[in-house]
Amino acid sequence: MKITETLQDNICTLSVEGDVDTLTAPELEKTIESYAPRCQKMILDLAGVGYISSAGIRTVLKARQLMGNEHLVLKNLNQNILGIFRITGFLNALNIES
Amino acid sequence: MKRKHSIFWKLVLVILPLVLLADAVILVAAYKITYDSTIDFCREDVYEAAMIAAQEFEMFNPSDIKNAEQCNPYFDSLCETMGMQYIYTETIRPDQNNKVYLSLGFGKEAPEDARTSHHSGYVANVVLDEEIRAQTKNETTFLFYNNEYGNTIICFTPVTRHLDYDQNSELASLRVIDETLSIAGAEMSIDNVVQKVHYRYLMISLPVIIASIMIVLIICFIIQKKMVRPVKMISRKMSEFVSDREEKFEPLVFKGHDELSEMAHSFNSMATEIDQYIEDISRLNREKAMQETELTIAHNIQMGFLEPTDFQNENAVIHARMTPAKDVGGDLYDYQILKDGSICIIIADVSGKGVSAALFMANAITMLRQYAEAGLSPGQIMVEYNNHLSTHNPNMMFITTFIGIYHPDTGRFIYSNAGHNPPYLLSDSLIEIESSCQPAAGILSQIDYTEMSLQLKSGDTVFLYTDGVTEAKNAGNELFEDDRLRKILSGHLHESGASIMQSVLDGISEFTVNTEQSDDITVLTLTVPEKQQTLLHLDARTENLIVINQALESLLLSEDDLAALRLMAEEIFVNICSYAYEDASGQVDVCITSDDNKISLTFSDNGKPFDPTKDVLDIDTYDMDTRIGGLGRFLTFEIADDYSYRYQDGKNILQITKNKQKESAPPSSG
Repeated sequence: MKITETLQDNICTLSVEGDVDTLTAPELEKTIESYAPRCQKMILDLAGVGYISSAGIRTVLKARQLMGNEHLVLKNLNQNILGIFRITGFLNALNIES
Repeated sequence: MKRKHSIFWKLVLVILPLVLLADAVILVAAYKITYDSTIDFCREDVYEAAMIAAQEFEMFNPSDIKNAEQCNPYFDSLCETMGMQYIYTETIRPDQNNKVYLSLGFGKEAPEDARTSHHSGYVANVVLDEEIRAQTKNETTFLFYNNEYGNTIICFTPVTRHLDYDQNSELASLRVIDETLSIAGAEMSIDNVVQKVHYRYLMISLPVIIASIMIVLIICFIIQKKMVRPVKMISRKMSEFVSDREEKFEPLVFKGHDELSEMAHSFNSMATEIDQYIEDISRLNREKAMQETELTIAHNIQMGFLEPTDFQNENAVIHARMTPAKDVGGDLYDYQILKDGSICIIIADVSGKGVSAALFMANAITMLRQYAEAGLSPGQIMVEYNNHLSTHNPNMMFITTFIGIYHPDTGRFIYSNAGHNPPYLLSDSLIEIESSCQPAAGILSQIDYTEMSLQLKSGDTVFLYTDGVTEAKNAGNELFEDDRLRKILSGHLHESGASIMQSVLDGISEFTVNTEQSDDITVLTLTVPEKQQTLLHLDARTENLIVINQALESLLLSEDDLAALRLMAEEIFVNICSYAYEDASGQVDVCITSDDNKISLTFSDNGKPFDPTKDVLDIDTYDMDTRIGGLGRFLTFEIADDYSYRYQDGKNILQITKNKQKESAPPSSG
C-alpha cells in the first residue's frame, strides 16, 4: 500500500494505492490520525485501491469519527469496494464522490 | 323444371317417333288395302252397271233410239243408283278408225256440257284397244282412263246392236244385228271415290296419330311415375344421407319386389352399414385417443418417477438419459445422495415393454430407493430387492439391475450386478467393470448377490447403459454391438460425463438413422469431478495472510471472486489469530478446494472452542459514530454462499463456500 498525502487550504487529500487490509490498515490509520488535527476537511481518494477488508472499513470509520461525517469525503471507489460498503449499509451514511 | 323432366322428355323423344313410324306403316298399309278394295268395288260396280246397261239396252227397240231422250231417264236413274258418271253405247268402225258414240244416261257427277252435247250421239276419232277388243272379240274389258273430267274407270261389254250415224241429221241410229257389233260402256269417276277414301282416311288417321301421341305421353308419364320418381327419391335420399350426417337415417319404404325395390333395399342396407361403420370408426377413434392419452399420462408418470437428468455436487456429476422405444418403457435409472454423502446409482431393464413393464419398473424403483435410503450396501440391497420382487411376481417378469454406491471420502465404488450389461470405467484407459455372473432379479428368491468394488479417482467416469444401446439396430438389421460402444468410449476417456454420453447417443442415432427405435435406450454417467485442493499449514500470525492471498491468487479467479475470497479468508484468519490462541502461538490449517463451480475454504485450529457463526453483530443496531470494529465476521457470512462450523476432535472446523461468478453474468451495476 502506498499513501500520497497533500495538504492545501486546510484540505487534506490522502490518495491510497494498493490493498487496505489487516496488514496495511494500521499505516493508513496512523496517517489519518496525524493529519486529522491539522485540516478542516479530509479527502480519501481510493482510486488505486482494489481490495478493502473490515480493517480498512474500520479505518474509514475511524477517520469519520476523527473528522466528523461532514468533513470526510471518499473518492473514486471501485465497484468491489462500493459493494462492501453497500453490504454494511454504510453507503448512504458516508460522503462518497465518484 | 327442365332438369326434373329430362328423363320424361328423353322417353318421349325415343318412344314417340317409333310409335309414329308404326302408325305411318300401318296407315299406309291400310290405305293401300282400302284403296285397292275400293277400286275393286268400283270395278264391280262398273261391271254390273255395264252388264245391266247392256241387258237393258238390248231390250230397247232400236227405233226408239231416235228418241233417245225417252230412255234417258232410266239410264240416268241407273247411273244414279250405281254411282256411274256415264252410261253410253258405241260402235267402233275400225275401217274408218272412229266410233259412233251415243250417251244413254248421266250421273249426277257428269259435267253439264257433256250432258247437253252428247245426247244425240256423235262420231269420235279416239278409238281405244279395250273398245275394239270388246266389240270384235266379244269380251268385257276394263279401262282406267284419264280425260279432262278426271280419272275414271270404264267397263266395255259387247251388245248386239249396231249404231249408225247420219251425217246429215247429225243423229245416231240403232240397228239390230245378231252379231256382236257394238259395245255398251259404263264409266265411273274414281276421283270422287278416291277423294272419299282420302277424306275418310284423314278422318281416321288424325285421331289415330293424336291418340298415339296421347298414349305415348301417358306411357311416359307412367314410366316416370313408376320408375323415375322412385329413382329420384333414392337419389335424393342418397344425397341427404351424404350431406346431412347429423340426422338419423330413415330407411326407404318400397312396395313390391321389382328391381327398384331391390335397389332401395340395397341402399337401405348400405346406408345402415355405413352408419354402423362410421359409428364403429368414431368409437374406435375415441377409444384410441383415450388410450393414447392414457399412455401419454403413463409415460409422464413414469418419467416423473425418474430423477432429473442432470445432477452435480462437489463429489459427483451425474448425467442420465432415457429414451423409451414406445410411450412407456421398462428401463429405469436412479441416483440418490445418501445420508453419509455417498452416491447411489442404479440402472435396470425390465423384461418386456409397455404398461406392464412400466408398472413393474415403478415397483422396482420404489423398493430400490427404500433399501438404499436405509443404508444397505449394494449387495444387501440386491438381496432384499430380489427377495421382495420374486415373491410378488405372478407374471415372472425379471429385471436386470446394476447398483453402485460411490463413497467420495475414500473414492471406493462398491457395486452389485444382477444380470445387467457390465458398465464401463473411463479412467486412464477403458475398463469393463468386472461383474460376477449373477441372475437377473425377480425370478428366484434367496440369491446371495455379491458385491465388488473399484477405486475411482478425480476425472474418472462410470458409464452405465441398458442393452438398448448395444442392441440398437440399423436399417440393415445390424446391431450396434459392444465394439462400437467401446470405440466411442475409448475416444472420449478424459471428457466430461455429459460429453461422453452425448458422443454415445450421437453414435447411436447416426447408426440407427432412418430406423425405428426397437428398445428403450438408457445411459447414465457418474463422473468424479476434478478438484483443485491446496492445504496450508500456517502459524497463527496475521503476516501469513500473504501466503493465503498468494494461494488464492494462484486459482486464477475473477477479480470479484478473488476479492470476496480474500475478504473471507482474511476476516476468519485474523479472527483465529486474534482470539483462538489468545496471542499464544498456534497452528491454523487452511484448506482451499476449488472445482468448476465453487471454492471452499476450511479453517481448522486447536484453539479454544469458538463458533464464529454465532453472535454476529446486528448491522441494524450498529452505531458507526461510536463503533468502528466487529464488521469482519458480519461481512464474511454476508458474502459466503454457504458456511458451517463444527468442533470435532479438539478442533474448530469452519467451512465457508463461495460459488464462482458465472462468466456470462453481467457485471453488477453500482
